[in-house]
Amino acid sequence: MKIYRLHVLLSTDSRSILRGAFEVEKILREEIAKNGLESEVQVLRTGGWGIEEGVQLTVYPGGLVYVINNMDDIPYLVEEHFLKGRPVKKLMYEIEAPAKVEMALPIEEEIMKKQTRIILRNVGLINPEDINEYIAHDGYQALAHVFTMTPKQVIAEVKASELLGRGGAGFPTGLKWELTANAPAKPKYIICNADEGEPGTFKDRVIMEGDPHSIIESMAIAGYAVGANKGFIYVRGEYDLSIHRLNVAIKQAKEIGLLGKNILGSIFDFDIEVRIGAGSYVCGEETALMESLEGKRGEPRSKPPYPTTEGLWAKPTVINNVETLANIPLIILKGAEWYKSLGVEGSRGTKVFTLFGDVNAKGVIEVPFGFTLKELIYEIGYGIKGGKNLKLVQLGGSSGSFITPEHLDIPIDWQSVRKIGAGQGSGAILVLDETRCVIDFLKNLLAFFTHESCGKCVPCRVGLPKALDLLNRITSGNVDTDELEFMEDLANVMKNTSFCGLGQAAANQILESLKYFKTEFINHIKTGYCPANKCGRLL
Amino acid sequence: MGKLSLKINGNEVEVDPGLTVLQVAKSFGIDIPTLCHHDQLNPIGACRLCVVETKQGTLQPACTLPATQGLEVETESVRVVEARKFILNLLFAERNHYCMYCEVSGDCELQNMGYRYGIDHFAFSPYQNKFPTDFGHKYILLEHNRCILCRRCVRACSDLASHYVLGIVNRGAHTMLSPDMESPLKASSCVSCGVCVQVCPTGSLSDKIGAYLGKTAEMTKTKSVCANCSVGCGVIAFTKANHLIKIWGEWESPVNHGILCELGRFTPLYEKRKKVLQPIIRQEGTREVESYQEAIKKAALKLKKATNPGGLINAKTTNETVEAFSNLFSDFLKSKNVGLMESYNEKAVKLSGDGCLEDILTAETIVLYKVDPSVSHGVVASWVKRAVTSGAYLYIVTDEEHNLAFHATETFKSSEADKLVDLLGNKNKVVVIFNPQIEDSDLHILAKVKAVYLPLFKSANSMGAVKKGLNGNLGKSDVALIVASDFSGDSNLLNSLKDVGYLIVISNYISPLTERADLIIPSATWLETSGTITNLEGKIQNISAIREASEGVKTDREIIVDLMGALG
Repeated sequence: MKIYRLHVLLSTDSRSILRGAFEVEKILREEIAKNGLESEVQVLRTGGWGIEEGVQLTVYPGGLVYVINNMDDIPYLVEEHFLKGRPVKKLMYEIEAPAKVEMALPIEEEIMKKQTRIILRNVGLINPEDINEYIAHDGYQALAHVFTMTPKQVIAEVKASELLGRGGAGFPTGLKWELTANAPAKPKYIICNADEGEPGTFKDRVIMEGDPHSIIESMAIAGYAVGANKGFIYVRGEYDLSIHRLNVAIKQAKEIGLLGKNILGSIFDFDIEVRIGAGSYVCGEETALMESLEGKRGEPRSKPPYPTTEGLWAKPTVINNVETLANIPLIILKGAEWYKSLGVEGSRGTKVFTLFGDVNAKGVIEVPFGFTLKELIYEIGYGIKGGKNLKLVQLGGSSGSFITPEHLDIPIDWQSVRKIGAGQGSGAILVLDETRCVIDFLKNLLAFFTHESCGKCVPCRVGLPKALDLLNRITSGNVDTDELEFMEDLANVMKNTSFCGLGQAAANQILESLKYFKTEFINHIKTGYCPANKCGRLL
Repeated sequence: MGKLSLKINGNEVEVDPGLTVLQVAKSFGIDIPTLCHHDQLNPIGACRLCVVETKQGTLQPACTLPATQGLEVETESVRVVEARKFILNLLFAERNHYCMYCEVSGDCELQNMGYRYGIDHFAFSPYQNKFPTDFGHKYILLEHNRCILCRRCVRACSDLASHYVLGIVNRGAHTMLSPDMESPLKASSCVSCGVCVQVCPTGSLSDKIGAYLGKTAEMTKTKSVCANCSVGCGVIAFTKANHLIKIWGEWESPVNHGILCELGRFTPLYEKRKKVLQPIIRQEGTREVESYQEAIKKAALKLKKATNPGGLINAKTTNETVEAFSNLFSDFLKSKNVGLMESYNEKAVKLSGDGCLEDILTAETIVLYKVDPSVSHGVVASWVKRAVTSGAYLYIVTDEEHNLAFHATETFKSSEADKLVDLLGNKNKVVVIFNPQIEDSDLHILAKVKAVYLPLFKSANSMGAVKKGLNGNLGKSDVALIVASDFSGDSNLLNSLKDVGYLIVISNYISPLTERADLIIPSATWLETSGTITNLEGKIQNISAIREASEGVKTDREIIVDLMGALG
């Protein structure tokens, strides 16, 4: 094996590719060749670190992160760092806030300092399109290990880890597996819910683009545990690269017998198919997803029966989120006890968040449960852009909950968040500063839900456009403040009677806006004042 | 399993497991309002009008909420009523629900709910999105602007009638009903079974004739049986001032469970042929109207004088008519020269033993042997498609284009029928649907299969007539009596009558056959006749007169009895 002097990890997640990662690679290789460094510098494609800036090059040894925004900088970088060994400070990742923070430190020491990467353990480190790199990082060891256990033991281990589903509802994964395993009907199915449609949530994408094999391995383990031989990954249609990499991963795993018939010489068969969503938000809801998978119109089903007894094609089905599944191999390898050492009582392990909005360092982060929002926003996120004050955090995406500044010290774990009537949902953290208008924000949310409502039930289908209509009238000043009560009543009915979470969550956004920002509504109606100067009207 | 106990509106009740709260409430006489729910359809919980409040304070739709041990619900609590009002307000404001301009005003379930919950104004600005109207279909009006998206029609079209024409397209506020994924109803694969019209709660789906002729409450309802083919579907006919306005399938009928086909639901409404209203005698090229008594006398005289009187009867007539007709010839005219307008292979008739239509639904393998029920026996086609949808194999033997070929597991040419016989050897629960007019050679093939046989007779009472011993054509005769009913006569029949010296025709309508007749006696149509008919399963069912016949026009049986009197 060839030994290189420098290893350059090139981020090739879809975000980097859009910013020209492949062009960067081409120029980089040309420049390396020009300087005669081919035998000394190796360029490797990896997933992304979850950093939202430019195309990232991470250079080992050292672990310095360069951010390439301009192709013209590449020759200089190659010459200075790769040839002459002088790290180029001006090209390194930096965060604008509050004073400039230069990250001229190895990635492990600065960017990742406060994070604990369990789920994202391989993301950014390995080439997602090469199964050997995954295997070199202990990949498929867990799968091999479960064949020394009985399915019941596997389920017991997952149950003991107290792993909760990361899709938003927080249902105990082990229990879900057990219920499915105990359901008498056959065949059984494993579905990976990768229809990540929640606005502002892209953690699953980062996992699938950076470490697709972890999903494949986990699904096979789940299949073994519950007695299923077929798995489906339902991927959001817009996630081209995820679809490609999952398919590559499945092909590679099949080639070396890690999927298909008699996996690793056992009597266990498991196959996975990637199915592509067609752009419907509601298909992220598990029963709507199954309808869509069956080739029907993607609309939620009535529950009960639950998927564990009557899921896909009315057969017992385990449906787990991408992030949930990514936990499985480590739980099997390192054991439930180790897993429980992370996080806090009732919320074990780590959680991947997507931090975005008016925050200085945006991106995907992973921390153990128990961090407060303040830590996430002000330490990992380096505070609010332009040093402004925080107005509102929307936790869990568009279906999530409002968290106002007085609750910033509450640790983010299932029970603490629930105590203040919120939910952590998908793990999106949208930060809004004081100059944002809550009505404008709410209009955007409702427009989204109106567009995504499947049209099945009346409160959601009709209630949403009517609520949006009311909001437009509020910002045009053509209503009385009494209308706010009417809007609240409407939202309550929507919340109480909508068929699925979509209508309920949409109504929740209205209710929370009114709960925390009623004065702002009244100001809009009475004086036409809008803090963002967005809802302007002629007085 | 034992009984469950739960509380509805504070009353402890005991029920069997496996019911929904709505079903339980209904069985105890508690009326929970519904819109998207229909007793014949699987509940989907779309309209949310049936919400009830649980002990935990949540609102749950009664139509999909399973009744479980210890459940406590309130069906008209303050919160429930408020939610229902909001839902109704939203529905009324969604599309065009200005009741006074709607033809089903007074028959509309949405409107009824509006009255029940005191919706007296639009709480939101109404009619937010305008949708197209689709009025091109031969029978059905589809007004999207009055649709409340309850999807009863979608479920009825697919789950009950198995045509899978109607579906839902777009989403959110743009959601709309659509035949064949965005085709106008006229150009779609709609087979005009009309079950969608029957289940629509509003004025969104209505039929062109029924829509504008008043409220259902003002109509007379008559339960009867359709006589347009041998299936014998239960129908409910709606009449007003002796006019037939609409025909619905009877949900309780063990034969069709409410499903009809075009022939049953719409064809009778569009009957445009000219009725025979008075007896007519043709003499030397002229036609003269005759009184009924004179006509009977004349007919009796001609038959009496005949050396070889013959009779031919339409298999649509009732068992009682067939009986009287047979007696007329055997007892009064001492003639054996009687025939049926259809001829069947006796062996084929014998082959069909105890098969019934329900067998299709439970079959694992269905064979359509040289028949296409979608053309002539629509409900049988529905049942076959339903069975295929739930996993049955369908094999078709045909030498022609077949409408159900799309649903078939495999289609065979008649020359390849042997292959099918081999294939059926290892199949269970086989139902063979065939035409009892088939040749002996076909029968020979079919007899090799272990199956339940269902013969698709042509007419409503073919089975009854054949059982009475009537089969096949009329022999040579000088004076013939034809009970034509609504049959117009085809060239075969007209040719066979070439040598008849004197032709007496009892007919509903003016037709080529009556043109040939020397004496025409008008008769009541099946809509105006009561009696029994025997369907293809051998089930004897009552048909009732849906309306009164025109003045002076008698039923076939009455005419035959009068002839007997004149002969007697």
